[in-house]
Amino acid sequence: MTLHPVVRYAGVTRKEAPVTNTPPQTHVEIRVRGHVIPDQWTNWFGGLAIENHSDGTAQLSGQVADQSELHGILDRIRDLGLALVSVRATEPGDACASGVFEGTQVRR
Amino acid sequence: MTTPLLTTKLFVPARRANRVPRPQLVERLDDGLRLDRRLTLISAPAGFGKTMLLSEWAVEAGRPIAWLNLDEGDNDPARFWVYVIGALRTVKPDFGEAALQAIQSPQAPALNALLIHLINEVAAVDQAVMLVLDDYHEITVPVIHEGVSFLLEHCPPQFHLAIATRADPPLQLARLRALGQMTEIRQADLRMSRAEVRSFLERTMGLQLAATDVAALGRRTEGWVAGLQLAALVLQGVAAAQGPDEITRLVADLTGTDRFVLDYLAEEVLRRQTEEDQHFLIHTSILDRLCGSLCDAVLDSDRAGLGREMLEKLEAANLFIVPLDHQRRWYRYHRLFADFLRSRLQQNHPERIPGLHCRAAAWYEITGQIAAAVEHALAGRDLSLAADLIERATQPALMQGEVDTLLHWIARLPDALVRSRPGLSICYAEALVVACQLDGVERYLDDAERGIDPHSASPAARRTLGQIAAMRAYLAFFTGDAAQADELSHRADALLAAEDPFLRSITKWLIGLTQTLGGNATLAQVSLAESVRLSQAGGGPLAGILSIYVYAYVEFLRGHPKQAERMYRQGEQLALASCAGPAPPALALIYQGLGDVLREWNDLEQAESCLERSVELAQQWGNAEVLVDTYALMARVKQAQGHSDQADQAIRRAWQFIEDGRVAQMTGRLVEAYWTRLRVAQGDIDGALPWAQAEMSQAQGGGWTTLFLHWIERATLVRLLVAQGRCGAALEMAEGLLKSAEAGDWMGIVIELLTLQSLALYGLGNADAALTALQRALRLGCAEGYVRVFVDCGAPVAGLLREMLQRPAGDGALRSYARSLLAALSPAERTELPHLPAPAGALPEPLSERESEVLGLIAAGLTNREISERLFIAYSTVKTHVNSIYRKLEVSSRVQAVTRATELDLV
Repeated sequence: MTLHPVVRYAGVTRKEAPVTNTPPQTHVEIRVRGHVIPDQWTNWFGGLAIENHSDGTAQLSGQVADQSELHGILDRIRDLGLALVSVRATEPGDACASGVFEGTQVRR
Repeated sequence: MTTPLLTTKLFVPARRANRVPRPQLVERLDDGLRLDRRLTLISAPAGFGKTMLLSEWAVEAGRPIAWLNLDEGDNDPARFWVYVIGALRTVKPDFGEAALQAIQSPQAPALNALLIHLINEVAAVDQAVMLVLDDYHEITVPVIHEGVSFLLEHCPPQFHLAIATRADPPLQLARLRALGQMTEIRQADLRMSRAEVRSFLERTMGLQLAATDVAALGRRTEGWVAGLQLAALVLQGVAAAQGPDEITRLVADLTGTDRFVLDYLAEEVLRRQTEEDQHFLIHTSILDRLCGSLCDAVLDSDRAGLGREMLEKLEAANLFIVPLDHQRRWYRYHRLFADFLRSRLQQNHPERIPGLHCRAAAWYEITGQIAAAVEHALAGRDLSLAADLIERATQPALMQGEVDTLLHWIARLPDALVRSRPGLSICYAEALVVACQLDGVERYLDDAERGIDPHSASPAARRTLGQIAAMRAYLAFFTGDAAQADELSHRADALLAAEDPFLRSITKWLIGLTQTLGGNATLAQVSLAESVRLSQAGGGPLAGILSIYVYAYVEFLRGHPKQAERMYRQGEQLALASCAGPAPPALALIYQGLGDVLREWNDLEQAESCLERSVELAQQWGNAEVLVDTYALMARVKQAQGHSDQADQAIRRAWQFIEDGRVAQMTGRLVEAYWTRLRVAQGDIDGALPWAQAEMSQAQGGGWTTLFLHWIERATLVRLLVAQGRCGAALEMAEGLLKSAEAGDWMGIVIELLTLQSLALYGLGNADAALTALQRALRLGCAEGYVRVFVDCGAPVAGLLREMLQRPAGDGALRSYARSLLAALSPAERTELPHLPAPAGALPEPLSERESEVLGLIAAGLTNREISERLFIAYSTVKTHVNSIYRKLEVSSRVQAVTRATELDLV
């Protein structure tokens, strides 16, 4: 006899409260086509520093805490009709490592 | 009671004055329909005119359109499908009635069952139907994608799905593309051509522009629709106020700057509005939907009606505001524009944002739209308001199956807050239980309890205490603590005395269950019957089905399979009558129980089909516990049918769940027991041994709870001992169990134990006692049609039955019963000699008394010399005895003799 008839499993887990010691962060550089005025937009893009280049692109750079934050920013870029040129991620302390954002892992 | 749907989400957008006509694209879409393709996919970033294109097509499509605007909140599967049905109902008013009821319940059917039901209903509609899902990129939850994929794969030809999205959805697009089942419109298709730009600016927007300017605009915006619409807006204003030179200057500015297009143009648009209008736009940008009085509330404006005036004005000016209904009550901003406005707000007045959200939350609360109020309260970080609202929203959400939404909301509150509010802790605990995440529940129940006076007489406090007790009872039960479960469920029952039937029906079920475990079957059946009554009196089918399941199983164990079958059928009726749509998954339990009874009656084909139905429902339910038991039963059926391979297959399936850690430990033990039985039935004794050794060490202890839970394992152990020929040990164990079973009136269990007892006695050479026991078992089983309990023992029982028939005594009914049982055995089992490997009593040549004595001393480690001294016999006599012993035991050394003797229970 089945003793544990329970209702359907929903699969949603509770996010744990953020740990007080700051998790390892990753430095990102996002390049988009079109200039972005820092005074107008820096808050919208999570406080990333904005630098406009003479080739008509703009670079957003700074720290993100994790994948979710990065994707949130990328979605905002997408939703404003800005074309993505490139995304680079560098681990803290490393020489520049190019390529797709790998996730926050401390490698020591 | 269900929350009404937001009709604004179902509103088909009207064609706008500033739309871009796209006849070629519309033709492509029509072609897709003509070719009976299943999917139209329009995938491009924001502002490319996806919705515009779809609404243009919708007007001319020649078939009814069901439209659904998706947003982030639709990531709750229950909510998503409720809205899909809602959209289809705008086309066919009574569509999906049964399915709707089924989803909006605490135990919703599994999605596949639901979808099949819906697909059938669509097929029954003989007109062609199109479902449009706008903003599909908002959906991120895999289970919804799976459902939509399923829909796409199985929908009838008259159904067409159109999806507008900013990112390609994970819906097996490659396959659809390859099969030519998809019409695709992408960014490149949606870019406006030079001719289209010209036509739009000059004809649609009535601008008079130099050819170079048109070309420049086209280049700068790269044909981006939103960009051109914004540009047109600015230029119209400029043309009206300032004339053609200004236009050229503006175009030059736009093309000269590197600022991204939206930023430049939206800024221009905004700049040209009055201060009051700018204020309005920026501060209402936090709202997903706007209506006059909501805007008034958010802006805290002192003039009533201002909001409504503004919205109408904005719509007239084509300022990227979109109506969401025919009455012009609700609007929303075009997402691009809203994002731009929000960025202004965040940049210039970030400190105002929480206040705006809180005012919105208050407005939604007053108008009774709790879900929206929660979202704004969370966004405004007014956590105590959010907590209050969530507490209010919990019951409706749970009753409507929207547990995912609830969990997401609570996850956004700090844990400390949740734990400090008893009401909220309870809500969270309830949601966790419903979502089957039992690990964290205890903590929240503790927190909730701490905050309440246990002697309070207030109805609210009593209800909360009752809920806590009910959940604790459930947890206690889950961990096997029957005493706790019993006490707690009684307490819950007392506290919940006048409450809603659902909770009470569940509590009664829990009481009945714990009483069953406690061995008190009579009392249990009273409680369970009460649960069924409450269930039928508005508590919903769940508790009723669960109670019937336990009740019937108890009947079965008490030796009344016929009554059990009647009850299972009653349960089936209850479940099927509860809604016209897909059956509640708990029906899987009923079919499992029914399958077990039919198996016992040797009605193997029927049993199999019942069990298959149970598996199907349980798989949809996603309930591993039920599946494991059902697979184990299926294995027994297969073995009985003689299909050993399939039996192994079935038990391995059950095993997989255990290895994956998806079931309770208790269930694991049960499957191990069934697996062992299978090995014994297949003659593979060695394979069964490891389990037996582990089980033996746990086989001590009596008590009702243990018997009820573990009799299958104990009985299996006895079976194995008999199969090994260790009949002494088997007998001892069987007799111990029999005492317990008889005392508890578990006659069904008694029948099995008597049968095993008889086999053990037979193995020890005591045929008379064996027959007495067997006849008693037969007498008990005869009237109720028991078959497998005897027949599963295989050849040994055949031997006994034949012996019984050889003797002249015994009544006719019993003899014919015995004959029918013999007939039910397989030919091999019938004719095979009893397979008991050298049962002790049946040694071809039994040991004499003296030889037994000597053997005993050998086992005690004495030498022949020591034996001769101990028994006062000659040394040579001892040696004679020893040789005789070796011969009879078929061994050739002392060590072997001792081993053999132990095996045969001779020492």
